Amino acid sequence: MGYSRWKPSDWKSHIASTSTKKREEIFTSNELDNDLDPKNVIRESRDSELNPESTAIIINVDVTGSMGMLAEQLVRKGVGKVFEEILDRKPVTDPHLMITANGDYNCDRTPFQASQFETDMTITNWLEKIYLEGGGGGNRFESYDLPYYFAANQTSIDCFEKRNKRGYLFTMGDEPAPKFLDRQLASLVLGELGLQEDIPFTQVVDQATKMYHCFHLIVAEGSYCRHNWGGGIDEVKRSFRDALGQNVVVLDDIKDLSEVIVSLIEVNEGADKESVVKSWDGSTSMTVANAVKDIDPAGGNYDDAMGAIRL
Amino acid sequence: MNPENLKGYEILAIETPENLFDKDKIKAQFMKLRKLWHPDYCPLPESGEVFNHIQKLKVRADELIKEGVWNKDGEIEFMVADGKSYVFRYLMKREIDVGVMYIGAEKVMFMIKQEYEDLYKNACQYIAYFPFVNRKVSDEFHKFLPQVSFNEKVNGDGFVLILKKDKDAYSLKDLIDYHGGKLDSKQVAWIGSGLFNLAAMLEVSGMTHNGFTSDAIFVKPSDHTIYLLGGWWYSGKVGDVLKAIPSKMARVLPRELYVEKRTDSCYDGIQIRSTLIEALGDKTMLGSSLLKGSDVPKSILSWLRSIDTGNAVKRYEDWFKVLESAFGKRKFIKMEINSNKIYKR
Repeated sequence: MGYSRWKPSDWKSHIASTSTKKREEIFTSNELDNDLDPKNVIRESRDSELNPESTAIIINVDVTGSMGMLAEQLVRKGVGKVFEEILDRKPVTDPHLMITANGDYNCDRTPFQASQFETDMTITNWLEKIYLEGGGGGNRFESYDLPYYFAANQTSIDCFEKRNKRGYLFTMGDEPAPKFLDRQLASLVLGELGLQEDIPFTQVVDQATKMYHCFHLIVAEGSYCRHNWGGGIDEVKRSFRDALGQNVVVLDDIKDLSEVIVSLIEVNEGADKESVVKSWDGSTSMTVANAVKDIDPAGGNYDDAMGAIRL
Repeated sequence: MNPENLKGYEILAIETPENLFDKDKIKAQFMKLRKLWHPDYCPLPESGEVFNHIQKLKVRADELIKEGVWNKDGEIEFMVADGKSYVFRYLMKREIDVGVMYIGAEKVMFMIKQEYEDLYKNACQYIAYFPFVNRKVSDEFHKFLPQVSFNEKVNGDGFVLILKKDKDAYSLKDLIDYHGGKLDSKQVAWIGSGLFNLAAMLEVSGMTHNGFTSDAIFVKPSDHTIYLLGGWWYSGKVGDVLKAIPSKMARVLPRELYVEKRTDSCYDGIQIRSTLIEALGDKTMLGSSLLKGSDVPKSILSWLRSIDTGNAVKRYEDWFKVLESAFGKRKFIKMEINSNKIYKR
């Protein structure tokens, strides 16, 4: 997928058509849409004439409980902003965007949904098809392992396969990470995984990190973080830092979700942190500053140079 | 070839001094070429560029002589520390992480750079005294491990390590290249069986190899024997400090390796899986490009791509289950290949 190009005019029309709609008028699905079913599928991000140097970007939203606001933010403003700012600032080339949504496979009917990779307004159609189940349980974690496992095992992306350049994977939510990927429950969602045992979350993330720069955004406005259930936001940070290190960031205000995503890509690709922060106005620059403060550039490419690597 | 008869563009196309100078006539040939191409005497527009290129090749020639290494058209001459010179004839030369590998008909020579002295010594130690767990294991597996034919410090910098090789065994990398970058999955099946068997033996012996790359592995298609000739510079006992890893494995090995820096047999498993994925045609070694449109059986691909949880013996058993589910009962798969086809293309 990914054979067309983003048009700002289409996005403006989309904003006009959704601005007066309530969330439930935009997200009308009340069950998993077949097109978003992740079971036994492979999602592809391919170079094309219009997008010759594609960069795969996955944005995964938590759709448990009140976290449906993340998908709403993306559909009203987020994806357009991500596309336009990346095309304008060019931290990476030819963005191909995929939206995925996670719930909790311990209790939800629809624990994971995955769009195709898209380069244009089609991505909003996928977004609107997402079923905002609003589930999740009282187990103090959601199935944030599914987007990582899916990215590592069920995507095929040209930026990595042809150019040794990793894509981007952003997950977000307000609850802690699971400790393990439950192979039986995950198989029900994704198809038979062929795993001999449950896999620690750190290993699942590690696998995804081979193909993607991975970030988790902790939604500070989420109930788990605000109400200090369990260990609150500190517990959430701890649970992800084992797997993602510095790439766990706090999203203070979800209205700035897109700006934070674009800024993380910029800083990760080597842009000056201060300049990136200053490029945004008002409170957005503060949200971005807080999000990127611990991020160091990772570089995009694997080094093909010969020579034994000393440890 | 008389270098004085070469055209300017021909000289510019020469990348190594051995292809311009004769080892015994370097000084005389250089003086003649210098006169011929000096911009003060030569009216041709490219004279300056050619002149500079000749100078550079001469400097490199002097360095090579000092290092005791002279390499020309299928043979390399080198001098060891006591001043004795040797010539090694090879069919294929390949750059590897620690230096250069020369594949001969019945031997493989590794010229290892001085900076990897510790790794060279490591290799010599484990090749000479591999700690087989018992006599039975030794009898069964010693033939798959290298036997040293010659190892010395080279005059100048570096080390030479020559290992014996079966004449019908080829580097896996060469085999993959010969087949256009991808082997049939049934061929990869027997190669995997041999490699996982070796990994199980290593684990039982308390050892890890850590260098299961396609240029370290040699395969003999006529009887499906797998030899682990290269990569011993990375090896160590389970739990030892890991000194280095192959560059191409940086992308596939887990992050914990960089933190703990200790050998673990699961790293051998991960490397073998990745090398088999490479043999199936995915140069990234992660296998995502084979997910769609490839003829690799899904069960094999998903097993190779799954997370390795250690236990080499169980891995070996599981591999056979996966093969049986993909191909049915075990049978011998022929590969029509010989040294001429691979090395004299």
